[in-house]
Amino acid sequence: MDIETVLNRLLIAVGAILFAAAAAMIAVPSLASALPSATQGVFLVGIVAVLTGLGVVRRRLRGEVEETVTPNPERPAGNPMPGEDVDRMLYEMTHLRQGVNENREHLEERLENLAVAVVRNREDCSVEEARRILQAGEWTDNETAAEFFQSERTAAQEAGLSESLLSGTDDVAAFENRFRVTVEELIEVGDVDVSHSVDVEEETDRSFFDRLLGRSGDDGDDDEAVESNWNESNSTVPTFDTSEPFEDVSLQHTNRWLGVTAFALVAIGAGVVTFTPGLMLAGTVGIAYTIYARVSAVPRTEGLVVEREFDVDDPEPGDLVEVTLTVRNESGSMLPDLRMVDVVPDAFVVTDGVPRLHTALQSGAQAQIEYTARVERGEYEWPLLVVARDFSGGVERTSLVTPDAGMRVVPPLRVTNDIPVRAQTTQYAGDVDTKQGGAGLEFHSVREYRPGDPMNRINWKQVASTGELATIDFRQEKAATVTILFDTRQSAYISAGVDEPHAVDHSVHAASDMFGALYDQGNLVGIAAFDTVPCWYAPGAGSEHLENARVLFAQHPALSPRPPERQDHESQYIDPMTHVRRRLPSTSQVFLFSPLADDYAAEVARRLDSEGHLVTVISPDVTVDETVGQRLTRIERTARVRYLRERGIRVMDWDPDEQLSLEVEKAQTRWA
Amino acid sequence: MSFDIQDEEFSAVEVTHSPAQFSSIIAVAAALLAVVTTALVAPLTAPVGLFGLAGVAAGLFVFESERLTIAGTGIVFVGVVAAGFFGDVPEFLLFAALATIVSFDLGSNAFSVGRQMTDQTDTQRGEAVHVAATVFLGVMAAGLSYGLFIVPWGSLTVPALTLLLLSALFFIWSIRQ
Repeated sequence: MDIETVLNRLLIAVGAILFAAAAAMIAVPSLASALPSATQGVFLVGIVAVLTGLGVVRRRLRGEVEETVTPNPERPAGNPMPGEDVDRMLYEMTHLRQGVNENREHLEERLENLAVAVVRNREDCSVEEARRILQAGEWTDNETAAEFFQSERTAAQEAGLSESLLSGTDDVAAFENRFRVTVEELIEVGDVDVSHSVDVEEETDRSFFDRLLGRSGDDGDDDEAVESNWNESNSTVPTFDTSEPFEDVSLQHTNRWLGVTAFALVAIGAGVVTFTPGLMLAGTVGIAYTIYARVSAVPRTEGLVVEREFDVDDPEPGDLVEVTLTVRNESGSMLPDLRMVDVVPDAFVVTDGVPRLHTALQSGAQAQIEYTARVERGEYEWPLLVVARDFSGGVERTSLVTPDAGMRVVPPLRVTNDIPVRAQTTQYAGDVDTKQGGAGLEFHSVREYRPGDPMNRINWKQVASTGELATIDFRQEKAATVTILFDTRQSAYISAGVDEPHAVDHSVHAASDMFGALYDQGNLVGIAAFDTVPCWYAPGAGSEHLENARVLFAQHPALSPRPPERQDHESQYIDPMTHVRRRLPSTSQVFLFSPLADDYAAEVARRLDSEGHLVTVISPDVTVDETVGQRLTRIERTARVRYLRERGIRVMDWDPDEQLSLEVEKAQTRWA
Repeated sequence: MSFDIQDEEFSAVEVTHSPAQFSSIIAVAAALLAVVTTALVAPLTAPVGLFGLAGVAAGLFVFESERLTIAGTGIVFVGVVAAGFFGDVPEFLLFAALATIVSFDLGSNAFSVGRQMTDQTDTQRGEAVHVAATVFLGVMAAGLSYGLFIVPWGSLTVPALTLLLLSALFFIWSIRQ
């Protein structure tokens, strides 16, 4: 016998005794007056009732209402912004006093590597020389910044002792300040584009979150309403991946009536104690609601029929699609309290309307939900989250109803304009001018006639003047093999703001258009990505190839709009470039799409280049320049771009706010 | 490559979770009714009720705190009970208690709807049905109690009635959740 059964029997027993006593009093009215202690007894009961009532109040104030926490699928996923890690480290150090040494060491090392790159680029010198300049503090006039790299390690540090232990906590703040000054100085020295300069002294008062969200100190409060929820975070529904048309998630008592008994107990108790029949009468309403809360029926949500319709049949990424949901109650009974949330996929953003509805449905009645969403590439089928309650709201049943309406969003591979392909070609005829002479359009050279040369290429003018046969060579036009390579590691899923698309989205959008253009120019185009999920589609041609590429852009998990950590595949650490390097044809050019968020991406470009592939890096610039960490990452990225350009690798530094076609034109004139 | 995906007009909709408007208004109105009724019974207790009413309103509209709202409803009810001490007008007390409990239920429902839905959601019908159900049940229960109350039962004394009501409560409690 468990404790609940015992408690239950106890409650019934007490109820029965009270009832018997009441019955006895009604049957024998003289009983009350006969027993001198009856009045006192009832008085005591009244006091106990009041006290119990207060206990119930206390439970209510302490207790939690249990209910399904719904997700916020309307909002886009909050992708990390570049530089967040640096800001977090600084915050940990200065505000939480955590990991002071580790973070400090990491930041110092990172800043030093960056400074070496910046100085080396400016002075055009070797790494050793750059280090010497830094050590000597000759790189800047700013004393604080110059000192940053001069500080010799003390004996205590060498012995592994914490510096902050030795010199107190002020040191951390001083370090942060020196760090800021040095970053600003590097921006100055490295001639990095930033939209505004920061007065280092006034910067320190802003809270971490303000800085993290890129807010300035004074406009903090009007942004409060904006939340950025990943679909699943904060929600009690663990996952929305369901293939079943109907799935029950939970059935629970909400406890929302907890405390209503207190109204009855206190009123009746007070009424008894003061002999006020009116209060006892008032207390009966409380009893009625207590019964109401206990009487519950499980809502029959399995009888809901949900249909979802789209106004466009074959949407393209970025299109606005109107979604209409029709929910019909065919359960045969009324559903008095329905709370519905259409769990729009992560990559979608609701731009108009509300994908939610709170209503009651009679048997046979129907309701509609309408909203507009901006769709993203991929194949989707998503459920409607239904939270149903009975009349009193005492019971809550949560289920997922997935209508049979999938959506496939495939990029169109539009041909927009020419893409400058470099002169690494195949034996196939194509559009790329090579340096070899032969048949073609553009003049290349005049050479001696060899037997077998076609007549139309003989330089008749020369024949007329000298009498010797000569042949004109034109530049041969060949097709190139181009492999579009994506950096889709976790670190590439960064965006310039909460509402902005991340770098991988920018890359895939640009690349899907570029694919069409390259293909149209007669090149063999392939797709690859370096990530934990291998993605490889060998360069090829033909309409089938084009169609397969479209599907791959839309559905390959490596190119998914969701970052790898939020996908459920198992990941093991291998060098993500291994599979690409193994398969890449030796004559293939590479178009690398990467935000250049870390050194690895730049290293990939450099290594491919040294292996003989001509590399063009298309880098969407998603860095921002609000906080010190963000400014630091911007300098780092600029340094990487310069590093690659120094090695003859073409880099298209693309601001995603601008159209890539304009950027391509600009780059073309630069490279011509 | 003209991929204009960040036009301002295409930005995401607002998502805010404050207590549902309709239920909130009815909850405050019900609390106000309770306070006015108790003030008619015993004007002396009006300040207590008004204090509770302020708590309910502030909890729903200003601080968006469920705890504050419930505490406010509790104080309104304390006002009702206090009014009972000063003037025993059963009809008014019954009505005030009913209004207080309705306010309690709608206040907590407003928070629940606000959390699970959003301010932008169409919640009118769902809320209205809940309000109707709660008010209907309360009116029926109060009517029944009052009907039994005004019928002279002769031997049904106050102590007997108390024991009867309390036994009913214990039986209800024993119903397994």
